[in-house]
Amino acid sequence: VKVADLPAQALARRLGRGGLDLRLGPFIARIESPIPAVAEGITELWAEAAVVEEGFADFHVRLAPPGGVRRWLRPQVCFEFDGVSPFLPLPLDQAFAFLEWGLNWCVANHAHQYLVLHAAAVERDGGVAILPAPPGSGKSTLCAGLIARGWRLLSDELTLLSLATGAVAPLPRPVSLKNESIEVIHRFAPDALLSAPCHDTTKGSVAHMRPPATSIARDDESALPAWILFPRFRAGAPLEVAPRSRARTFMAVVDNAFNYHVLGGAGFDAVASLVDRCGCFDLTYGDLTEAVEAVAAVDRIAGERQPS
Amino acid sequence: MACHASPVAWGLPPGLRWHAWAGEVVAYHPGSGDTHLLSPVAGAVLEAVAGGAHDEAAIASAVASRLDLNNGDGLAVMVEEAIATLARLGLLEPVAP
Repeated sequence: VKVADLPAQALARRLGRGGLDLRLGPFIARIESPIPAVAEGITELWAEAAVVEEGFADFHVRLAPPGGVRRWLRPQVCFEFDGVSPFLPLPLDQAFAFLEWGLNWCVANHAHQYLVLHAAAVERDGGVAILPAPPGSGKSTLCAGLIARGWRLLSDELTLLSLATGAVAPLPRPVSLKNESIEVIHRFAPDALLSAPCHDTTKGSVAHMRPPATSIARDDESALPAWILFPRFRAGAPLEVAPRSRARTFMAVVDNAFNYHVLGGAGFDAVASLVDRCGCFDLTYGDLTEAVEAVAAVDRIAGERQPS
Repeated sequence: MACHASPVAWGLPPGLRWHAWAGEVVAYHPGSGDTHLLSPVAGAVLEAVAGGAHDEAAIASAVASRLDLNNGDGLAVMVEEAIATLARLGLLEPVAP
């Protein structure tokens, strides 16, 4: 059963009482919320996600308004994980974005069977391109552009690198787009389904792009990394693809890992193996179309620009 | 007053992890949990010690070979400084000669 198969009333009832168990890649999240915007966001953006009928859930989360006068005066939403609120409340109209951010926190802080990277990951022809980058670098924009041109979405925000196999496990959830990126993707991929922007968040205006159904359908198929690309968007910049030193790539991957410090030597080994197997590049871009084409041809482009 | 002579032989501490790519070396110290990107000379020192060079003369000779440098006084000073840095970081430790 998929989310899209559930009538709206049944979905709201489950969210309101007992929780809706959704499969998110290797995890099952039990989500409770009486807030209509959460149900609407799930219906719109997670339509293809599998509903799990019974059994164990990895993460138990709840989004609900706080008590007191906040119910009526500038209403807010609290995020709870196992009954504890790790964050301050946010304005109620940010409820669905809060669910996405909260689930990111759940995975980053608890999924230590993986090296968890702050990175997008997309796959084509069996090879995974990992795009680690800090906020504002154009990572999610490039990720959205790539999946709009046929790459499989493994993750927009959290790349899960298996310590056991070195493969990337899919976590195909909505792609988070911010500010100007929303309009960029509207123009680049007019058929992509984007949520209505949520304004005045701590990240500015945020909209989410529904992940491709084909990516959700393959959310149990891991794939091996082939490239590590550090994207950097600069308005008006010409496309530049430059090979990176592997040791500096290693350190940059560590900088973008959420749980490297938790994993100790296993984390070191995982990053070393990752860097060993991948082509490592910086990708500076000012035009999304050029960048998407460059990722598809990164080995050739980098080879052409390397000194002989 | 006791007189402490400088250790004359160096080894890798237990549990140290390191990886080299074309002369660039990163190393992980399990005690501190810190990961270091080493300078070319420090990386060559670590590789030399891992390769079986333990006294400073042998280390300097191996480093000169790895980095294609003259094994003179200047290199000896750089190697000595690199050894001191690596020892301070816990990436090398004195061993019985």
